[in-house]
Amino acid sequence: MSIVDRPSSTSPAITPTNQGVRKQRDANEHKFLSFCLGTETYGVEILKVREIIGLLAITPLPQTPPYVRGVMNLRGRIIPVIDLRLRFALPAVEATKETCVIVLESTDSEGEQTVMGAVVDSVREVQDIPPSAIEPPPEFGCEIPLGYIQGMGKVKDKVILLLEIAEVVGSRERQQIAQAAAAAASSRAAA
Amino acid sequence: MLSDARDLPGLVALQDLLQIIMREAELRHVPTAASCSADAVELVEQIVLQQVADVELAFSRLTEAISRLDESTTEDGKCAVAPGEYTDARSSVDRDLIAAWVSSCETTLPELEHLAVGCEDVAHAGDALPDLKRRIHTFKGECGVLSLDRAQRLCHDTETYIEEELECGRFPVDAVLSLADWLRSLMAALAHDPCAAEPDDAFARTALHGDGEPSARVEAAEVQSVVVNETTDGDDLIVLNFDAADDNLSDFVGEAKEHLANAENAVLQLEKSSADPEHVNVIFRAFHTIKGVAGFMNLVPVVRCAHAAECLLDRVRSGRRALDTTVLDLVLVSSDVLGQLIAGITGGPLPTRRAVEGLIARLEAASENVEVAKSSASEPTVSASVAKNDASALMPATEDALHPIPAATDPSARVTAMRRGDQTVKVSTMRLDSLVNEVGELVIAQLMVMQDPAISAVVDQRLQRNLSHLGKIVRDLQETSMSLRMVTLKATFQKMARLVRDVAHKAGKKVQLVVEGEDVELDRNVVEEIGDPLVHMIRNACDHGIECAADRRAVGKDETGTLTLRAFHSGGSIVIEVVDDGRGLNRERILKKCVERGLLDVSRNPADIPDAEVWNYVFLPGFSTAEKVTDISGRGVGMDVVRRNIEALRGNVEISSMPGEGSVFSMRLPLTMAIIDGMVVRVGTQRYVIPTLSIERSFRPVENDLTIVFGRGELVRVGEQHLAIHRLNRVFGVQEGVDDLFEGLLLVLESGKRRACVFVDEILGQQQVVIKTLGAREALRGVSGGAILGDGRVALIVDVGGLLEEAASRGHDRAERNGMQVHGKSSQGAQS
Repeated sequence: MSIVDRPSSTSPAITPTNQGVRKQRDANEHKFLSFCLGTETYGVEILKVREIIGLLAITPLPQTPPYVRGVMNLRGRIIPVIDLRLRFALPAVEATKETCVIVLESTDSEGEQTVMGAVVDSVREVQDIPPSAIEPPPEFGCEIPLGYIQGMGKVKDKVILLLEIAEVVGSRERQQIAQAAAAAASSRAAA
Repeated sequence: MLSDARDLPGLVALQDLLQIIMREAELRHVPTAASCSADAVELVEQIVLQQVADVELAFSRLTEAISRLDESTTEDGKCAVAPGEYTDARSSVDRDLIAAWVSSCETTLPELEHLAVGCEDVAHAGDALPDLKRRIHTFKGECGVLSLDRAQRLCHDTETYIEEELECGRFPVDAVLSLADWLRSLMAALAHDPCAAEPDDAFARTALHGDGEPSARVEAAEVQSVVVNETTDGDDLIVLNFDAADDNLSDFVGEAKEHLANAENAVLQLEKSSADPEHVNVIFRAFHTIKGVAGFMNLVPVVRCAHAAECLLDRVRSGRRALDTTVLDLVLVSSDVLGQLIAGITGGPLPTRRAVEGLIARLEAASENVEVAKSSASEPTVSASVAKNDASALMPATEDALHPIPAATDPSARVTAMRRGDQTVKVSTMRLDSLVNEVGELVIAQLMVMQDPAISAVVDQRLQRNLSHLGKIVRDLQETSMSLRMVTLKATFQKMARLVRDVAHKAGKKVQLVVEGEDVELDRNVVEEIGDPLVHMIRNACDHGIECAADRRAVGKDETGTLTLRAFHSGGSIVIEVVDDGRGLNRERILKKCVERGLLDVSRNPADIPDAEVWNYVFLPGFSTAEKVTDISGRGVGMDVVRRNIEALRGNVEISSMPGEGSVFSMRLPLTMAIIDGMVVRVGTQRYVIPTLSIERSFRPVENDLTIVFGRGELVRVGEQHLAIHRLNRVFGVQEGVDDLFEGLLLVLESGKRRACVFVDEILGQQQVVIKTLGAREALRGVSGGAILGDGRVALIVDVGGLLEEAASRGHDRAERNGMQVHGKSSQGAQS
């Protein structure tokens, strides 16, 4: 139904654009959007960022963990919004004029696409981090699940934690929530 | 043969058949047959257009014309001029026509089955019997139009058989049902590929025993040569002698299919552009290769077909034959027949000998006689346009698919519908859904404009008038778009009639199905989804619920069990109930099973467990109390499916059961999945939408009516009943909102059997909202979705059933944990 469905093969004019897009995509492959939470700098792949918007009215959802801020209206579409500060157990702060929402797109392992917003303190810049400058996530020798850290990017002596956004509210997390819900439901059924 | 001038589909089908005969007759130089059929076509046309004064006379003349036609053709039967040629005709029949027919059959077939079941009791069949006969006749005609000759013949034989049986005072339900089954398999094949071969009808024919056909069964023993029965001489199937063990065979099948696909592609290219010799070469090479390899494999019919086609193409290639539509059509037909022959190697249905011989004859004729080919060259196009005109004969059935009630039962309605063939349009569901979505957006946008402070500040009568006019149009548009998606439950319920009959027969029980409220309309998506759950519930009811005749007699019940399928509106939803008057659920056995599986808390006294909870266990996956697994049920899968599907639709299932008296399974479903009428309420700064239909009333509480029960929270007297008060802010964990019960409002909400009061700050107004998913994967209890309000902010839509359940369970937990504290708090709230 969208305009994108238009067959591209018939029109020669589109082909260069396609190539252009592909080129751009390749160029964007190693670009990361960096943002701040407290004193720490984090990054997400630019290809997963759909847009950055100011903090809009968020409607809270019941029965969700505290880091789920709620849902908001993104031009007629309702998307869930999480607070990365609370997700990473940082203390909550008042919103400033720099506070914004990064709208992220991710496709999970089952191929299902999700769009969600992430509240961050401020957005920094788009940085090129080649794969050579990215180190695998550290091993702390403990059972802390670090699936949501894609790697550690080194930019000018600074380390940027690169996040795997699908894992931040990861399938593991989701499973836990689902299990908790199921358990609650069954206990209710039994009660 | 024909006596009913109102049987328009039959007439139109007849007219079509005659036209095909006429064409064939001309093609084969049978002038008498051609003129006879031309006369007959004209007569039928006059009858159809009601241009004849004396219908009786017209019919007698028609009968005469047809009998003359019969004599003039050497073939047997009025429509058997050349069944083999029908395969050719099929490729010229518009594919859309077949698609339209297939989709119409999705409704007409269940109706046929429904009628058949209704006719089982011949004495009380009433109008159903003639209706049924008419429908089979219509099917026959339609199959004829679409050149589905095997289907046509099967319909015909079934008709004959029904007549024979009726003379003995019986009605052959099984024969009709197996016909319906066979047609359904045909539908499936055609839906997949309009040119698909008709499936083997041997099984369907076994139901027609006594029709005196010696070849009514497939001899399964014959592996090497596949032979399938047919009715008339020359219609026997081609015999392919092949060595099934030959390794090369499967290679050949795969390659040949590829070659044929290439050839067909080339034909289509040729049709589009001017004759490019390279395309002709491609086709030629394809047939030549097939011929070569098939010769090696000793597949004689394949070789002959391919050879004939190759000869024709060779003439075209050398310029001795013009490349016209006849050639292209013939090439396509050859490709189809070859495809069928090759498919036969791998076990598919084989074409009839007549089809193959007819094709070869035509190919030869076309390559030898240029004149003939040229004169007939224009024919296919004519017939194609005829077929298109007659598309109207099939279109009303499409309308049935959208509104199955009126047109299907009333023949006169069918006639008028047919006259104006453009009354319905087939629209892809994707477009429909996107229309509904866009209208939803429009409603939101319109509300945003209306509620914009800048707009409401303007004091201008004209603007206000225009705005309200706009509002009205948008509302109308929304209603219309919603109604596009609504369909009745009739088709679904009719399918169940068939199921009940089959299951009851299999289980050896007598079950009578009573259907109520089949005209209730539901969102198409919902209707599609409830089919499966209904099947499981009905199977269960028939297999477990209703006792066998002897047991029923023993307890003094009527031998015939009654199964009621009922649909009705209740609150904001539709309830569908499956009611049986059987033995009811066995509480002891369920509990025993629960203990076996360790589902029960050992400390609990089984006698104290409420019925509702016991019944809930049957929904658990793998839970079955059946001693043995039958092919109907007993694996414990069905009820799990039921619950899952219904919950996916935001509905719920409840069971109530009385031992010895039967059980009721009721599914509660939302009316639509897209838009609801909602009451917008405020709690602090948050707004929620509560479905209007779930709100019974709202009121401000009076002190005298409030009761605080120790450890159980607050109650309020509403009429004669005391209802629990749930504070929305507490249930949803919102730290705001009015705390004093006298400052806010109480809403009496109802969902299923639950009824309770919910406390909110105030009601802001009523409006229609578009339900949107929240984007979160996990369902939240008490919230069914989100709605975007006029100011662009999101309000949560309250799922009343879930909310009341959630609130009740919380109240329970809380009361158990710290009843004292809650009591203190709430009494404070009430008194301050």
